[in-house]
Parts: sequence; C-alpha cells; structure tokens
Amino acid sequence: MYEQKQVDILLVEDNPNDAELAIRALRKNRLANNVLHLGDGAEALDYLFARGAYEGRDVSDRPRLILLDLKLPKVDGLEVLKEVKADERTRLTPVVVLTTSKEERDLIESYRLGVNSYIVKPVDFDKFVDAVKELGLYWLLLNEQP
Amino acid sequence: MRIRSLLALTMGASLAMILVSLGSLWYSTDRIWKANKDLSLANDIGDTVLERIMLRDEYYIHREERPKSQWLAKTATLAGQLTRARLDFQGAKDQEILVEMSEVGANINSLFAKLIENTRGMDSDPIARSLAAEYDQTLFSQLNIRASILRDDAARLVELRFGELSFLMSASNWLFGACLAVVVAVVLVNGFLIGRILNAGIGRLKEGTTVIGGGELSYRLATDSGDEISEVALGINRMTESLAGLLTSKANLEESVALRTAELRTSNEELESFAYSVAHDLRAPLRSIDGYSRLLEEELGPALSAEGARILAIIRGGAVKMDDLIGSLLEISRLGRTDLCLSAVDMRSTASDAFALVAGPEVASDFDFRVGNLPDAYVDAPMIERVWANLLSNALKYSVPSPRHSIEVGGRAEDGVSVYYVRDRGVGFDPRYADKLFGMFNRLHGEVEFPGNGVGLAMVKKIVARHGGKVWAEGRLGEGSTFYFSIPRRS
Repeated sequence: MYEQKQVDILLVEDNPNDAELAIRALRKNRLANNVLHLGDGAEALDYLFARGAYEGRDVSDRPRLILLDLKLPKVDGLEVLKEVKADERTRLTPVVVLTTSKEERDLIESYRLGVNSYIVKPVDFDKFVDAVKELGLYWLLLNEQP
Repeated sequence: MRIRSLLALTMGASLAMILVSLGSLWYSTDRIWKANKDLSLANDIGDTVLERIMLRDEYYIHREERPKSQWLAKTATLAGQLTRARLDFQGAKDQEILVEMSEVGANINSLFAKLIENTRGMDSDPIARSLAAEYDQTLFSQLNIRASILRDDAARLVELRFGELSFLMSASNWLFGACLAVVVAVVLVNGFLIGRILNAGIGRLKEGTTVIGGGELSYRLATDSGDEISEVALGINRMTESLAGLLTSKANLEESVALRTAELRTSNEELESFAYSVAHDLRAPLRSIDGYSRLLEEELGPALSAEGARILAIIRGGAVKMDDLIGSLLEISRLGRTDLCLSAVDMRSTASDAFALVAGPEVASDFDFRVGNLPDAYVDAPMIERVWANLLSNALKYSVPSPRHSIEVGGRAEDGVSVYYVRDRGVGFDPRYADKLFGMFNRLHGEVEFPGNGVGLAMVKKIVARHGGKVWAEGRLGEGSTFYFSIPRRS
C-alpha cells in the first residue's frame, strides 16, 4: 500500500545529476518542499494513474506541476505527456517540458500534445536557477488552478 | 541487284541503242542515197530507150539526117548509161537484164545500121526499091520487137531499183523502231525493278522506323537485300544500337543518381540524428560540470580560497564555452538542412534594423552608420537577417579599439548578381589571411582581445552559399575591413 503524501511538483528525469541540479534549483527558489522525483516515464504514469506500485493512491490528488524530461527510458516524455493530456483527471495539471535545445523536433510535438511551457536546460547552472524561478512563480504561485 | 547498277544499265542500254540507231541511220541513209541514184539511172535508161524509139520512128517516116544522127547520139548515151549500170547495180537479176539489154542493144544497132544501108538502096530501080521496101519493113518490125524488149528491160530495171529503195527505207524504219522498242523496254523493265526495290525497301524502312520510334530499340531492320536500301537500314540499325546504348547508360546513370540520392538522404538522416544526440548527450555532462562546480562553490562557501574560486570559474567558463560551440555547430548544420523560404526582401531596411538590433541604442549613437541604396534581393528573410547581424556585429566589435567609429553599408547590381558590403574603419586584418576569415572556428584575433567563437563568418558563408552567392573580404591591418557578399538576381 502506497503511503499517501502531498506532492506539489512531480519531476520526471532519468539523469540523476540533472535531477539533483533541478531539485537544487527548486530549493534555491524555495519551491522544493514537496518534490517527487521519478526516473522513468512508466513509473510516472503508474504514479499519476495509481497503478502498479502506486495502486490505491488517490488519483484526484494531482501534483500542482509536472516537470517532464523528454528523453526517458521505457516510456518517453512525449508518451507521458500524451496520456496526461488525454485523461480527464489529469488534463488540467500544468506540464512543463525540460529540453536540451529549443530547436528539438520534439518541442513542436509537445505543443501539439498540449504542453503548458518548456525550459531549455542551460549548461550555465545560474541561468537554470533563474528559469526555474520564473516558471515556479508562474505555475505554482500565480497561476490559480481550477 | 543494286539500284545504282540498274540505273547504269538503263543508261548504258539506252545509249547503246541510240548509237546503234545513229549508226544504222547513217548506213541506211547512205544505202538509200545510192539506191536513189541507181533508180534515177534506171529511169534515165528507160527515158533514153524511149527517146531512141521515138527518134527511130521519126527517122523511119521522114528518112532525114537529124533524127538519124540524134538516134546515134542517144545510142552512145545509152551505151554509157548501161556501162555505168553494169558497174553500179549489184543484183544478179540486174546484171542479167543488163547483159540482155547490151545484147539486144547491139542487135538493134546492127539492125538500125542495116536500115540506113537499105534506105540508100531505095533510090535505084523499082524492083530493087520494092525489094528494099520489103526488107525495110522487115527490119523495122525486127527493130520494133527488139526495142520493146529493151523497153521492158528498162522498165524491169526501174522496178528492181524501186523495189530496192523501198526495201531499204522500210528496213531502216524497222531498225529504228526496233531500237526504240529496245530502249523503251529496258527503261520500262529497269524502272519497274527499281520501283519494286524502292517500294519494298522504303516499306521496310518505314515499318522498322515506326517500330523503333515506338520505343522497340531491340528491333533490327533486314539488311540482306544487297542494295542501297540495306545500306540505309544498316545505318539505322547502328543508330538504334547507339541510342539503345545511350538509353542504357542514361538508365544506369539515373539508377546511380537514385542510389546516391538515397545514400545522401541516409547520410543526412544520420547527420541529423548525430546532431540530435550531440545536443542531448554532450550537453548533459556539461550541465553536470557547471552545475556541480557551482554547488561545490556553495558547499565550500567561505572556505574556498581565491585560487580555488578562480579554478572553479575556469571550469565553469570552459563548460559554457563548449556548450556555445555545440550550439553553433548545431545551428550551422541546421542552416544547411532547412529549406529556403524565398521572398523579395528590402535589403536597406533589413541592414538598418540589424544594426539597430546588434548595436543597441547607446552604441548606435556612438557610430557613424551609413546605408547606401541597396538593391532588393530575393532571399530567405530570417537567414539574410542573420548575415547582416553577423557582419555588422563583427564590424562593431573590431571598431571598438579604433578612434574612427564608422560603418558603411552599400551595394550595387552587377551582371546577374547583387553585391553588398559592410565597411568599417576598425582594426582590419592582414590580407594574407583573408582566406581564413570564413573558415569554421578560424580566428585572426585572440579571444581575450575580441570575444567570439569563430562561427559567425562561417555561418555568413554558409547562408550566402545556400543562396548561390559568394563571400569575400578586403582589409589592411589598422585601416579597417570590407566584407562583401553576392546574391544572384532573379530574372
């Protein structure tokens, strides 16, 4: 039985270093209180739809923001995005895609599937912190969820 | 049989027949002329014979000296005529008649002599006169019989000569007709043969060329008739063979082009996926280098020495620079792959806008920036904006240490291309290295002096090349530089 706990941000990122840096960036902006990090797309879907290891979780208890890397093992980011935006229960959860370059082909596809925003993961950590700050402010503090 | 031989045969046969005709004409004319002469001689003989009869009768009635002497003269004439006839008339019958005429003529001569002799005796006694008169009558009737023989002979002679003449004339006509008939026959037969060969040959050629023209290049025309048509057919066959060869090589060429295109597409796709993975996989470790350096800096806090901070800053700077290079590489590769979206672009306002953008208001006011009248260009607008932005930011960058802050943009239409330039009065460059300016990551100045990754001009070159144009530069150290690019004009 999965132990329910409050999740504000679901971070789906397979690279542990990138994940750690992202969490640090969130923490620097005081947004890291309830961050859940999952390493692949399949686990993220299990979590969101209360399947497998997460069976019994209350699906209506949605994260307030999903930070989604596009390149993931097993089920890739686009597939996760597609399922989230196709399901009535999760459709309204804001999804921010983390990309390596804004020229990626996947970016267009992400918008087609209904992504809310994206962050290019810059090599310069300080810039990443700034980008996370802006997004966190917008999606968690300013943007009122219905 | 060859058409040329048939034509030659026709000509030869016709010519030969014409020669034969001419020869026979000449020969028969000669013969006819001679026959005519003979006929005339025969007629003369007949006339002489007749005149002599009339003179004899006259003499017989009047017993005068004149008819007698005239008779004798005609006798001499007749003798001459007969002699000539004996020589001229070749026919055996003629000769027979002439012999008879000579004999009868001699007979007549002696009878006439006797008559003359007898006339002298008629003047004596009556008995003798009566005897003489009786003898005179006998002689006269003898003469009359002989003369009529002679007259018949002469008539036969004329008849013979006339027959000869008509025979010759009709023979000559026949010969002529025969020659004409032979010529006509040869012409007709050969004409028919040539017509048949041509007809059949042209039919074959027509059929064959229709089949070949329809694309059946393995078809070959028959070449065994041995005439000129088969030579033409041989030529057409060779032509068809070369055409088939050409088509085969064209097909091979197309095949290899298709193969190359496929290979090129594959390699382009590989390049694209390479670029994608470069972007992804090379950047992740860079992020770690930079991010963890930053974390280390924070962890150590005040414990970090100044030297330690400097080293960490270098590490972070290296990561960011490498990221910049990767970004530029990806961008250049993207420039080569994206399709051009061409439209008519106002180059003057594009250049002015680009300057305002790269300089910013503060720097812009510090520069003497002049734009001439630039010809419009038919180009990809966002790409050409990059060209202007790169060239102008270069001009700005290398003008900074110079006292003259002046940038001039100009252009002109040359044959087939529009040439544009950006001229500055900055630090310039050594013309010996002009060819290195546009190479990727090639720089003529140190990075401390002028920041940059050496990609800007390579990008300019790539964009201009994609438009079918060229780039080049002129400059002198300390005097500034001029960067040119050309864009082909659309007709």
